[in-house]
Amino acid sequence: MSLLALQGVTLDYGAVRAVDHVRTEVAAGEICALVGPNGSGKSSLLNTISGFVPISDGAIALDGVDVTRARSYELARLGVARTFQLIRLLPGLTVSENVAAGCYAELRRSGLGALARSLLRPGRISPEVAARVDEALERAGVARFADDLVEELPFGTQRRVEVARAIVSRPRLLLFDEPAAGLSEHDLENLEEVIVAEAARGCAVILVDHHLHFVLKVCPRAVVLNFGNVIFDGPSPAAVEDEEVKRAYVGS
Amino acid sequence: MTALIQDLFNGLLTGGVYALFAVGLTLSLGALRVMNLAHGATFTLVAIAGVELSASLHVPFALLVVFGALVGAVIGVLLELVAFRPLRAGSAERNIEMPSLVASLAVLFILQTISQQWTDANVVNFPSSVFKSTQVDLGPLTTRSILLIMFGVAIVLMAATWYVLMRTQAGRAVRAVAMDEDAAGMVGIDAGTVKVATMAASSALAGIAGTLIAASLGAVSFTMGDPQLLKGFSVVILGGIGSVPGALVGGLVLGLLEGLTGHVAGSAWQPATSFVLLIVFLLVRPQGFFGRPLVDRA
Amino acid sequence: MLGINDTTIELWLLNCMLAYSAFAVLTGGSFTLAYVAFVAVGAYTAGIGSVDHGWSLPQEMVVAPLLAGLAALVIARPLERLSGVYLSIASVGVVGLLQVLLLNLDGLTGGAIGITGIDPPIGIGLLAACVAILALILRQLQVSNFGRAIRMTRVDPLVAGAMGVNVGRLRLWLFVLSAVIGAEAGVLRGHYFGLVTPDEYGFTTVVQLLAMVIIGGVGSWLGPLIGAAVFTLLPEWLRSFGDWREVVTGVLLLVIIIVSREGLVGAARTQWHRRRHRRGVADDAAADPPPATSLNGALAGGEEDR
Repeated sequence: MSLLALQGVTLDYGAVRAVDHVRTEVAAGEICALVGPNGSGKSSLLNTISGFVPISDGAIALDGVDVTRARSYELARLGVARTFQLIRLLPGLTVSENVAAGCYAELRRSGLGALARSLLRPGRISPEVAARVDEALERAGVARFADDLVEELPFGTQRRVEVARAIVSRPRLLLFDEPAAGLSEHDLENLEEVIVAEAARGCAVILVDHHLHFVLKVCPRAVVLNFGNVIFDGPSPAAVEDEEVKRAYVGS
Repeated sequence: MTALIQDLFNGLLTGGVYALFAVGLTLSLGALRVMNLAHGATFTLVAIAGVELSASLHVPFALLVVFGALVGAVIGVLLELVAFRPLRAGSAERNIEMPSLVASLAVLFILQTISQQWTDANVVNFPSSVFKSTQVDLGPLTTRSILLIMFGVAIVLMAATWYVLMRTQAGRAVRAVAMDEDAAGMVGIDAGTVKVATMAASSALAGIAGTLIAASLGAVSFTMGDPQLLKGFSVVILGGIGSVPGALVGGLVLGLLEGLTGHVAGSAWQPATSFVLLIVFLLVRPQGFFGRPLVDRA
Repeated sequence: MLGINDTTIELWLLNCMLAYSAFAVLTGGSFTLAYVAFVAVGAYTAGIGSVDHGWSLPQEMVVAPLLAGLAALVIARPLERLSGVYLSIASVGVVGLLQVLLLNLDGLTGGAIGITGIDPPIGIGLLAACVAILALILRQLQVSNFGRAIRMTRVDPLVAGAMGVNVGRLRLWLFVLSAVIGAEAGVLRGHYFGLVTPDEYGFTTVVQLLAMVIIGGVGSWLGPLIGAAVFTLLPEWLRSFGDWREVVTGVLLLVIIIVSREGLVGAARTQWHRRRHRRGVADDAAADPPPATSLNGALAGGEEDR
């Protein structure tokens, strides 16, 4: 069964249709590129999948569970993690603390009992969580910056911290929103390693980007959007050869 | 019946100044997206400066109003340069709506202390030598000449502001910056200067309102700005943030309803009018009468 | 010493309680400024309760927060739909409306004169105990997972949502907490001064408490303690400035909001971090090695030289 299933997903911003009846499925362990020229709706689609924007029509299912109405925090609790186009790290906190934020959904317990317990024995980060944070830092190549304040780090390093934060919770679905912009060769290699490792673990990965070369190299499968419609859904090498895809990119 | 109409009429005239005060506020909130809590303190300080000046120098009234505008403008420029611009510089997304509340609050403290010290925390009377208010009879209604002048000046200024904003090059620049600062920059508009000018205009209007109210009340006190500020925000919400006609309509409506409330329930309940209107509108129609024209593309 | 005597300390403790009420909402990043209304509820519960009905202090300290909490839950619903500017203005509107009601319903509230003769008076012991307990609770909250959620919500609500925080629900609970703390503070205030009047529960108090919390630091349980100290003790230290101390407050507030949104505590924390992890330019160069073969890159990226 597919991990993520989109059925007739439509998103309207007033009179503008950003996403038009998109239908596709992504399986666990699959690495799928979501590409298209500017304004094709790929970022909008990502925002609907991650629960940041409610869709106007259609259905979204995560591992068979209907999540059409689910908001961002609910999806996070269901194992969906994402990065953002503009880096959104928490200033004033260290790299470790920022990455640990990714564990929040797992650590939280709700209810008065939990509140009472946390008041009596508040959690410093437990050893298990600390170990997970360290592991994520290692894999993203930022372990040496663990105690640095994020706002003082160079751009590429900040991107890596965002990646670390996304993977620390061992998500089921990873969404990357334009992660390659402005990255060095070195950073791109690390990103590729992380993506491949996550997929090997059984996570479904969706990558939205303009960087066609990087994206098609890393993702075996590509879904191409144009004006909110899916115009191609298949193996990436074939995407570059597809007539309609070529027309969409050249025409824009 | 005549008493009711008289109360409504008085309310209408007061509403004119509420509107004038609110126009400055709707400009700064609508065009610059800053909450200017110092608007009331500006109003107060200019009023006090005007009173003190006319007490010692016997300045003609018209000149006093101009003086009020100038002092107000200076305060506006300072607000933008010292409070809001540094805030924007420190914010990645340049959204300073909430921090500007705090920054303008800081300026409020400073301005209010100056007002307090200048008047020794006393109520100071507006020298009658500057402006002799005469009673005017309009059919069954009576009023004072100063109130009519106040209303007239307010209407004229609001029309002028609307005209500048909608029909001139300068106004177009303000609207462009309000809608999309980067795009405005690309067509050669200097956003920084536009913002300074807008704040100057906004605070100048507060200054003029202060001078007019001082003349109509006959006295000033350093605390007169606070209730005025809260009413100002009510009017801004009523009219729609960024809408000059909205500020006018909102101000007049508030004035009328205050007059009605006073007539029906007594003057002690008048202050409640603005709060009730505010809360009702925010629940039912937060965009006010005219929406957010400077920001909404529709 | 420095003009600090028992009364100053008592006033500081009282201000701490009030500041904590504002802190509870502000720490969640929400500029809901209705906290003074709940303080008023507490104060007038003390006034009406003790003078008209002979309630004891413990009774008031139970009833007032219950009333305030319920009121908070009721007004939270309509306020929920508002955000940013609208929320701030609406919440100040609530305070203003309540103040007018307090002034005019003089049968119940004593009108402009208020209610006098609130008994029994309270002293430094009870105040200190209340502040200590509250500070401890908030400290525990801050270092817990809830605290993590609150911090994320304040700094970047979008990210908080992406991390699994139900921002709306969290801010609702903080609002109720603010009401409960405010009401307790109000009861204490009523008993400390022995009287309550409406002019203490308006816009001026709203902005004073706001300034206190922002200056101290909206991110830490220490913030209100420090902010209240600045407000209560500054006048003593600035005797020479006399009545110009509000200008000092204004300047301080302006500098703080521009430089460090997280107040004095936040600034201190950042400085401490910078000092502990000072890295020179040379180190930074090593941090981003030049592009090399992927093997070298993998080695350099995974190294730990702490």
